[in-house]
Formats: sequence, C-alpha cells, structure tokens
Amino acid sequence: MLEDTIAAITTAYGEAAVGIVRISGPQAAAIAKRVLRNRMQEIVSIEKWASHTLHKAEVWDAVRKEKLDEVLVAVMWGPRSYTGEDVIELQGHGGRLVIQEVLQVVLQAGARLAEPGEFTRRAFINGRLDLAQAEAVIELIRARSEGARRLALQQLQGQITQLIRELKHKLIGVTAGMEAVLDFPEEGLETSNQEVEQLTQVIRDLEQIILQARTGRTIREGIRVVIIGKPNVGKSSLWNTLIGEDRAIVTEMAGTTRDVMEEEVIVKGIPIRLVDTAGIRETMDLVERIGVEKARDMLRRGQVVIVVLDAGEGLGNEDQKVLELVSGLPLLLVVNKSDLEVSRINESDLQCYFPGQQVIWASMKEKWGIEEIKTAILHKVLGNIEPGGEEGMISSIRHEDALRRCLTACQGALKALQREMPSECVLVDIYEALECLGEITGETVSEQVLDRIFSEFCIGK
Amino acid sequence: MELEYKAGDYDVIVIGGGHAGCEAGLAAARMGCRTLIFSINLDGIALMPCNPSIGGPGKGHLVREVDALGGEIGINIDKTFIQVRRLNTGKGPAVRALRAQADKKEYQNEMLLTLLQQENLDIKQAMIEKILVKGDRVTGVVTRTGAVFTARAIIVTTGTYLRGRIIIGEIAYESGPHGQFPSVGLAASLAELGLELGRYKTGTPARVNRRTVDFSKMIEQPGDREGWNFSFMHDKIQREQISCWLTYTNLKTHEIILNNLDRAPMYSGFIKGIGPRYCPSIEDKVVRFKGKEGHQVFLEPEGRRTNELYVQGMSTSLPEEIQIQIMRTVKGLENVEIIRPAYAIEYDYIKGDQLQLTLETKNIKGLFTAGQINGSSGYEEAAAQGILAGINAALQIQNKEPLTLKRSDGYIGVLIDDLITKENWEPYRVMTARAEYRLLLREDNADLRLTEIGRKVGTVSDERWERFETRLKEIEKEREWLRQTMVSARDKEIQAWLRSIGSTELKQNCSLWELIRRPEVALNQLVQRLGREDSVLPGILEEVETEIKYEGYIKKQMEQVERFLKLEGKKIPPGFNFEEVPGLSNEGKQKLLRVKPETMGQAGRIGGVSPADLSVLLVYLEHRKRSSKQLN
Repeated sequence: MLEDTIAAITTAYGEAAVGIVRISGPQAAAIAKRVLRNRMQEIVSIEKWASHTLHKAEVWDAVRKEKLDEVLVAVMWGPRSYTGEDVIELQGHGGRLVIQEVLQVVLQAGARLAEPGEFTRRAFINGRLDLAQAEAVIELIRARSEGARRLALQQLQGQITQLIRELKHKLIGVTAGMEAVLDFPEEGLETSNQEVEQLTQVIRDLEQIILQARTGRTIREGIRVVIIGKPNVGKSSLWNTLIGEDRAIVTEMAGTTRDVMEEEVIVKGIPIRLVDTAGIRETMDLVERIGVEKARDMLRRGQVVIVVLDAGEGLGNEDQKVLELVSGLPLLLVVNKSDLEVSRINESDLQCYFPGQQVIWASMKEKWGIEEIKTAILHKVLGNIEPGGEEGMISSIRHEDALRRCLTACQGALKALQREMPSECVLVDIYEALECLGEITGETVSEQVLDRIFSEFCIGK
Repeated sequence: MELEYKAGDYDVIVIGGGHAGCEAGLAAARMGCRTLIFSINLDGIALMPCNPSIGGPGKGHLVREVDALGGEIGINIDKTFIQVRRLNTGKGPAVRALRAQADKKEYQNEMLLTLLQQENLDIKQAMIEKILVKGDRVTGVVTRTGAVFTARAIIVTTGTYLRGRIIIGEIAYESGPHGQFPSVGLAASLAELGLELGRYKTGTPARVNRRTVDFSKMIEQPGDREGWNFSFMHDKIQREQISCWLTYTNLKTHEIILNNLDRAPMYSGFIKGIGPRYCPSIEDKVVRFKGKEGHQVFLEPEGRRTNELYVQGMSTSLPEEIQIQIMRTVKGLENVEIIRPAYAIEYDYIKGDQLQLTLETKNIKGLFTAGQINGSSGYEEAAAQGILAGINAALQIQNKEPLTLKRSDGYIGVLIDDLITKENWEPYRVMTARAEYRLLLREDNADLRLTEIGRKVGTVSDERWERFETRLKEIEKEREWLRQTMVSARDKEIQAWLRSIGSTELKQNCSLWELIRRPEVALNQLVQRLGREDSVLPGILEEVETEIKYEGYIKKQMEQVERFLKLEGKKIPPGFNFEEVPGLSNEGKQKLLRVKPETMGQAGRIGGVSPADLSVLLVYLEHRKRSSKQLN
C-alpha cells in the first residue's frame, strides 16, 4: 500500500492558471523520466538533479509521439519532501485538459492514481506531520473517501453501473466455467467452451465503455475547439462573438507555441474551450512558421475544428490548403458573411471541397447562427447525449484508469487462450481484470465466483 | 466429580484420533513433547467415515504439503492405496493432482501402528467430558470415568463427533459417524469456556454389496498404470490396483426422489444444520438441476478384504426404504443390496473467528482446535490443520516463536486464513480456485516451499531432509544442463522433429532452456529425442519444465505475492482494541472486532472492511506507536 508510486493533480479545478501533477513514491524519478524530454527531445537525468531545484522540460506522450506541455519540474528527494518519499511535481501552464493528459501519461508510465488523502496519509506515516495532526488526517481520509464514495455512487447509478455489472457478470461466468472444470475434473461437467467468444465480447464492450468514458470526461472537463481559416474570413469575429459576455477564464496556454490562446465559455453547463491557433490569427502563417505536420498535430488536439469560410469570396486555392490541413479531423464548417446579398459559396461547392461535412450559414455582423454553432459543437462531441443527463457516463479519470487496466488484462487473457496456455494462466489475467472492475464497484469477487460455480454446475459426490 | 482421580501428566493432549488428531499428536511427539491422544474408540483411529479416497485438486496439494512438513497422511495413503490416478493431466501445472482410493481398514491399521510405535506418544481409549482451565490457561482434561490428565496444551479434534446426531428419513438419533459414540459432555464444556458453537450438517451415501452389482452395465474407471506417490519419502509405487465403476441415475430415479421429497429431512425442515454446496445430496441435485437427465454415480471399493462399495453421488438423507427404491432404478444396481444406509449427520463446530492463525483459541491459552470442529470438511483439510496445531502446541511449550503459514506459502495457509477471516456458511472445502497464488503452490513443489520450515521446527526427520537435499541438487543439475546444452540449427533430425510436433524450425542455435519455452515442446519428449539416459529422479523434469514454460506467469504471481507480503508484514498488536479507533465505518468496526485480524493484510480480506477503513487503521496504529515511543 505504501510502497508503490502514486500521482494526482494537486491543483483544484479553476483555482489557478498552473496545474500541478504530483508524483510520490520510490519510482517517482523513474516514472517522470519516462514522460519527460529536454528541448532536444532527449531523456533527462532526473536522478542527478539536486533536491529542491526547478528544471525546465517537456512532457511527451510516447504513444502518440507528441508533446503535451512544457513544464517546470520540481524535484524533492525523500525524506525531505511533503510525503517523506521522493516527490516530483510537474507544473504545467496549460489548462485543465492539458494537465489531465499529463496525468494520464504519468499513470501510463507506471504510477497509480492516488487515493483521496493519500499524499497526506503518506506524509503522516513517514513522520512528516506531527502527532497533533494525526486525528485531522483520519478525519480528512474519512471525509474525502466518503465524498469520493458518494460521488462514485452517484456516477454509478444508472446505465454505467448496469454496463459494468454485466461485464463483471460475463467475466465471472467465464471464470466459473473454467474453475469448475479445474476443481472438479471427475464430474463430467458440461461447460460452454466459449471462452474466446465471451472474452472477445467483453473486450468489445470494454472498448465501448471507455469511449463513452471519454465522452463523460468531456462533459466535466470541456470540449476543445480549434478555429482555422484563411486570412480575413472572420475568425476573430467568430472568436469574439462566441466568447461574448460568456467569457469565463483566460489562460495562457503552453503548447507548441506561446502564442496560442485558450478561452472558455460555458454552453448548457459544458465548458467549451476555444483555442485560437494564433495570436497569429492566420492559419497559413502558422503553417509556414511551424510546418504542416506540427500544425496538424495541434489541430488534432481539438475535439472540433471549425473551418471558417467567407461567403463573399468563394472557395479557392487557399481553402484547398486548409482542406489538406484538416482532412480526417472532426470538422464544422461555418460560412461567415451569409448576410451578403450575393453569396459566392453554394452547397455544391462545399460538397466538392468538404464532402459530407456539416455546414452552418452565419453572419458575425448580424449575429446569425451563433446558437447553431454552439449546439453543433456539443452535438459533434456528445452525439445525441443530452448534456443534462450525465448518469450514463463514467466521468472519473479513476474509473477510466481501472477500465483501461481491465481491458489490458482481458486482452492478455484472450491472447493466452489463443496460444492455448493452461487455464490457470489465463485466469491470472482474468482475475486481474475482475479486480479492476471491483475497484469501480467496490466489490470483491472471489466468493461470487464460487457462488457461480455451485449455482451453474451440478457438483458433488 | 467425586470419583475423579489423578491419572497422568503430559505436555500435549489431543482429544480425538481422526485425521487431524493423528497429525497433531505425531507432530508434537516428533518435536519432543510427551503427547497423549484420546480416542472414544481405538478402532476409530484414522477412520474414513465418508469417501474411501484421498486427494483431488486442492486436497492432493494439502496432502503433499502436510507430507513436506513431515506429516503422515501422504506416507499412510501411499502404503494403503488400492488405486491411484493423476487428475487434470491435460491441464496446467498448478491443478494437476493425485487422487487415491484407500483400503479403509488398512489405512486405519497402518496409522494406528505408526502411532503406537511413535516415541513420546501414548494412546488411550476414553471419552473426554471436560476441559480444565485455570485463569485463562488450560490445565488438563477429565474423562468420563473420572481420570484427570494434566497438560500444558490441549488440541481438540472432535470431527463430527461433537453432539453428533444422525438422521435417516424420519429417524434421528444421537451418534458419532459410522456407528461411533457421539461426544456430548465436551460440547457443554467448550460452551462453558465461552466458545461460540455453530451447527453444520454433512452426509454420506450408502455402502452396497459388491456381489449384488452388475458391473457389465457400467463403465470401468481403472487407476493409472504408471503408479504414483503422494509422499516425498517414496518413489513411484507400483501395485496391483482395483477399478472403480461409473453409472448414471435416470428419469425414473429422479421421479421417485421428487415424489418423496416430503420425507427428505432437508426439505421438511427436520435438519437445521447447513450442508455444503459442493457435496449436495442426490435430492438436492435433482431439485436444483431439473433439466439434467442423469447424474454420475461412481462405485468405489472400500478395500481389498471387503465387499463394501461406496456409492459416490448418492448421498441422501431420505428414509431407508426410499434409498433402496432409488438405487434399484440405476443401471447395474437393479438387484443391489445395501449394507449400510446413507445418513445425514449434524454436529457442533466452533466459529473460526475465535481462533488465531496458529489455531490456538484467542481467549484460552494453550487450547488449540483442528479439523472439522473448525468448520472444515475433508480428511486432507483436517490433517493440514492437525499438523499445524500440533506444531504450534509444541512450539508454545518450548517457548519458541509460533508457526503461521501465509496464503503465499501453501494451501494450508489459504485454508486456515479462510476459516478464520471469512464468514463461512457451510463446511469449508479447499479448492484451487481459492488460492490466489495457485501457480506457485503446486503439488510438485510442496517440499521446496515447506520442508525447510518443517526441518526448522523439528518435524522433518534426517532421512526426509537427506532426500530433500538430494532433490534440490538434482533440480539444480537439471537446470544447469538445460542452460548449457545447445541445439544446433543444422541438426536436421531435431528440425524434422520440431516440424512433426507442429512447432517451427530453429533459425539459430539455441539452448534447451530456450527451446522448452515453446508451449508445444515437451521436455520429456525432448530428453528422449536427445537419447539421454534418463537417470533423473521422477518429477524433476516436470518441476524444471514448469519453471521455464510458465516463467512469465510465475513472475507475475511472485510480484503479486510481494505486494501481498508487504501488507501481511504490517502487524496489528495482539489484543488491540478496534473500538478505540475513531473514524472507522460502523460495518468495518464490527467486522474488525469480530475477527480481530493479526495483520493489515488479514484485515483487508474481511468482507465489509473498506480501503478507507484500512487507511484509518493504518494511520491510527502509527499514531499509537509514536505516542507510546514519546511516552517512553
């Protein structure tokens, strides 16, 4: 319990312009090393850094091979740290979404998401807090875990509970069948032998739920929208109109370039983050400056890319370049200046350039189409899910983490089955998968497996 | 009692000479304690009142573990089996298990002889009525005839004798199993000592006369020709074997059962004790699995010098006249004659949460319990607890550290932890599914896991230790050979052979070790292939092959064990009052108070104790530790 390495975001939502991911435990340096690079994209020698020093570095997502954020790395070697263990803090200047992604890669690199109050608990156990604080710590753990439990329960009521229960039921079914044959070899049991099919189904379901989980997280954490278009089509007007008086938070965002701005508006309770690709408002400039690939990478991090077109000008070469840049991304076409009497853009042109994409005819000047744009953004990400009814989704990163580990374990089990490994080996992975689901529902499964064996198979002398 | 007289003094007294009692008495005596075993009837020593068989998945593992610790069950079944098979041979290494049919009478005779010949060990036939206690410590026992025996430690192994009650249909009477006397006074004495007793039920099928069975209508189940050995003290045993026979119930059987359910005491409410799910009566099976047209019935011989056959699968508490009707519907049993009718038996057991992991009761020093009285079932489970209780009684007398086995040490650890920590509602049977580190706890490596422990406490003889050391050396030699011996990619014969077994050809030279990693390459075939004279001790190749083939999974399990051990290492001080911990959830507190776990790991396995409760407990214990340090 105490010896593994934990990580969590330690800044509360909306509290500050910096987000901090704290990593604590014996593997803190090793884990940080896996996600950090210097400016030359080289591995950094964290273990050589002196305690209580700050360093600049970049956080990289090794899987997607992209830079997530520039961060300041604070190293505090145990026992002279808050928790008494090796502590590494990654201070990002990005918004909430970026810091979530940073946490995500830290978890993928081997840290476990910290329990509520766990940093404090470790601090106490390692003698970093004095005795008088002990009772306060107990209260804190209790209150936080109660809160977390209530929250988890709330999230679990409804469809997602049902989904996870069904998954668990299926996995326990597979387990019980395999176990019954192992423990009662002389009973002549008739089991299904459908483990491969069953597991494949479970894996498909899991992938589906994880997808939904991401949607759920969007609802809590916001939708990133990137606006692009050739010069003078009205990107700034769209930006300003959308923000309007709803303007919420302004943060300077560190990404590929310091000039990218991020602002947030709340639509139907959901944060929409508008990312302007430039203080630099001109997309093509951006491409010239940083190259097509990097520009695309940046666009890819938007969940919706709005392409602004000018009804007064018609489609041309420059739009062609934009098209190349955004192909395959989730697009929303906004034709500005639709109030002009003569529109040089018609539906068939659009279909030719951007086949199958949703089009909104708008005028920033006349304030037409603004609400449609907002609704379309939501629709694009959430589909038909009504933002009000969150209960169908897993919105917690903790649950998503557990589901991902569950998926990996199931995939391992399936592979073992296909390689005809013995059942006991396959079951090592299946039990791990069940344990992950148990973290979400708070139940243990060993007795349930036995119950299933005895209820489904006729066993006995 | 006026007629009491002082009859003798021992270090350890064992009440009961069943499978737990025998191991307990032998272990204590072998460790140098003057030990006395009481049995209600000397002819009931090591009696097998149910199945004439030992072993099976989980159970076979237990036998091997008891043997590795220097126990007797493995040696005794090896001496007396009339059939032996290895189950699950087509499955993985962790669930392969031996199962033997015993010659019941021979089994008893051999065990009795071993007890009689054991130094430091006495046996007496007497019924114990009372356990004597002074303060919180046992001092001795009183027999029904008034003899007072004093002792430093007492191990109670009463099996199903404690307030035993036999039920056959509408008939019920006080009795131990198999026509033995029940132990009644002792139950009251245990209750007086403050132990909470519960009531379980189990049952056994009828025994029938071999002469009246038509085997031509049944399927023969022979033993493995190869011969096997449970005990690490033996090599493979070749012996003439006797077959079992398989037949099936049918719709007619089920109809008679369903028509007479009102006469089944389980259904009429006449039996209140809870029976085990894994050992259901035939009426239970028919009711619960209505769609099934036939249930297996095995006829198992009870020995070489008897005509009695055990009818596995036909356990019932229906009235005798119905039992005969049911039997005679079964193919091959049309003219069967019953020798002993099937019966259900109810008995007292003590709730496991009153015990420590050493099997000493929490509240009375020197009082140990083992076997079915602790809520388990099965000879093997009893033997496993017996040896551990015997060892701990002796260690206590010798003022030595107690021995507890962890879930990662063996099935014995799983069994005892489950009995004490979990809330059980039925007699407990070991299963491989209960062992979370199953891949590490194999039959083949029981000695590697436990023999050193047995040697240290003093139950492992010089002879056993010598055999063990030889085996260790052989294993190392074999590993070395596999690492050093290279196979050439130019060896056409090997390449052809690899193709023939559906494997792929070698691209470059590799060691045998590497080659064995392939699931389809079997080490024993490879050894034959290479024409190596097979001078290896039996079991060694398999041991090494398992290590290599399943290395990835074994490593994973070892990591799990490491995490488990960290929590297991966080001890909760004995006598700790969970009541004083602020911030525990109500349910968590109740459960902790009930079980009084000895480690944080054990606390975590109690149903109803949440991770938050564990955190709170951890912080509180640390607080307490530091406060006391400050005071000092």
